[in-house]
Amino acid sequence: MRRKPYLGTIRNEIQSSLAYRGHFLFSLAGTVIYLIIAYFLWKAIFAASTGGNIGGVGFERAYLYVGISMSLAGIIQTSVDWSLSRLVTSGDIFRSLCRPQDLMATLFAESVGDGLVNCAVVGLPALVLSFALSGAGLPDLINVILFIPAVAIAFFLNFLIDFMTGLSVFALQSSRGVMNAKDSAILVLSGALVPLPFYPPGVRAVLEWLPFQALYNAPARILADGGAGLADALPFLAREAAWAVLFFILARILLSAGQHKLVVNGG
Amino acid sequence: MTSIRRYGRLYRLLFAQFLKSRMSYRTDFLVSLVFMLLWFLPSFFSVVVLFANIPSLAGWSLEELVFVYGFYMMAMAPNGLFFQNVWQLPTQIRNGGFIKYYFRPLNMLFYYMSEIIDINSLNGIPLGAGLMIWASIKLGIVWTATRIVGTLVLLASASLVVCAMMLAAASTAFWLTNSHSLLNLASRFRENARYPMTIFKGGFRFAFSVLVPIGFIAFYPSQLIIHPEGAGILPWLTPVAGLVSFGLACLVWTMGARKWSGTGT
Repeated sequence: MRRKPYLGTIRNEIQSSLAYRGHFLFSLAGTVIYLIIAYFLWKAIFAASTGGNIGGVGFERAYLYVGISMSLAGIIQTSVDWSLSRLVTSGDIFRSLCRPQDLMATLFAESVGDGLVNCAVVGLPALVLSFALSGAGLPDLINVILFIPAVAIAFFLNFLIDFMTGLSVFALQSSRGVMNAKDSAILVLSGALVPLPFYPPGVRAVLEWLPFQALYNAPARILADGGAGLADALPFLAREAAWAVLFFILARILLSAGQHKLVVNGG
Repeated sequence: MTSIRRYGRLYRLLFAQFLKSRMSYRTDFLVSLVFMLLWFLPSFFSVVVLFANIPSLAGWSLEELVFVYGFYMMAMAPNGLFFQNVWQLPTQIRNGGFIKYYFRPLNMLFYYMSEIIDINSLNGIPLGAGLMIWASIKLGIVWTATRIVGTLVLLASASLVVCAMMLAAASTAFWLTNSHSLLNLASRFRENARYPMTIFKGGFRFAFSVLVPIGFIAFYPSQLIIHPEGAGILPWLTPVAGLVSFGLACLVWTMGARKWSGTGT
């Protein structure tokens, strides 16, 4: 596969997303306000707990989980499901399919471009603020280094989930319901809303094996659990990667199946 | 008066048309219905998970917060039903499709919003009512006629606050071209309406009551229904908050629509 055109797509996407500067200001403002709301919420939750400790986790770490998840949301979120479903319902997808570029790779390149910008403009400031508000010390270098591949895999995995959600439009013609359901399922099952350590042990055991925890829980744990290091992070990374490979294969199969089902109205 | 009747009739006709077009995507329609229920279960579950760890939140018990949650779901339903099209506004403005709304002898806001009627949002009403009834039995709330009428007025006002937030956020697209981030911001704000406003300290409580009035979406009105005695003045202002915020949002919309100059295509 020739890589050049995809690099061009990434560059284009970065440029076009930088064209809407107001957008970033509001994204960042939104994330900051959310972090503040979460701060008060978790302060109140821990004020009600006995001994300022829930399930062996104190405020600092709980807030870090939530804050990191929030920052991650800014980085890994793609809108591939929406754009794919819009391409199919409008019929414009025939143009993308006629090009000598792979549809999935092009969409991925676009998402990478967006993701890089979001990471720099929203994700990183949000991460810094999360650490500042939590009152926890700075993370160890090793955790920061391990955090990077964890985020990269989470990004890819989230792209695949969004892509497959978007593909459901081939079968359903309209996939708003599936998209909304996917968003809320991820919010809860990934531990982004309530960190997994607070779930009942049985539920938690199941969730830790599902792909959704790889999106938020795994990177957050790697960065927040200071001093855990490589031995602790590896199982998380391995599981993330395994799901990513599995979903990649599944997405390819679904895409080729979907293309055969595609009906575009003439125009 | 005649114009209200005219718009009422128009909306009925459009609604019928919309229902037909949605029903032609029958699988998605059914999937959406099922998934709406599935959506509700996990997000409600997260509240239960939290309360498994603590006895109360800022002095509010699980039952009381379930009541607030139910109220929140019901207050959200009209926004989802009638104002779903706000999400399309950034796209419509960017690609210039919005120009068509200038060309009909109809109120533009009405014309625009009547295009999508999201029937799935109606799910929130039985679910929310169920939660409110369950909680009110647990809390021993007696549903007198006054309380029922009052609750309906409060629900209508709270819905107006929700609609106003989304409309104002979407309308910024007239100036910013891309208001998606603000829409996301507004809907994130909305989600936090389920928590007691008493958790916020100082200036933040003021901000979430007045500047971005999420307190009026569920917490203050619920306070008035559960503990009318100790509620203080703020909850009584819910109808005012609804009317004022919706009025302001309409103003932003109108100014934006006047100012927008199209894409030139």
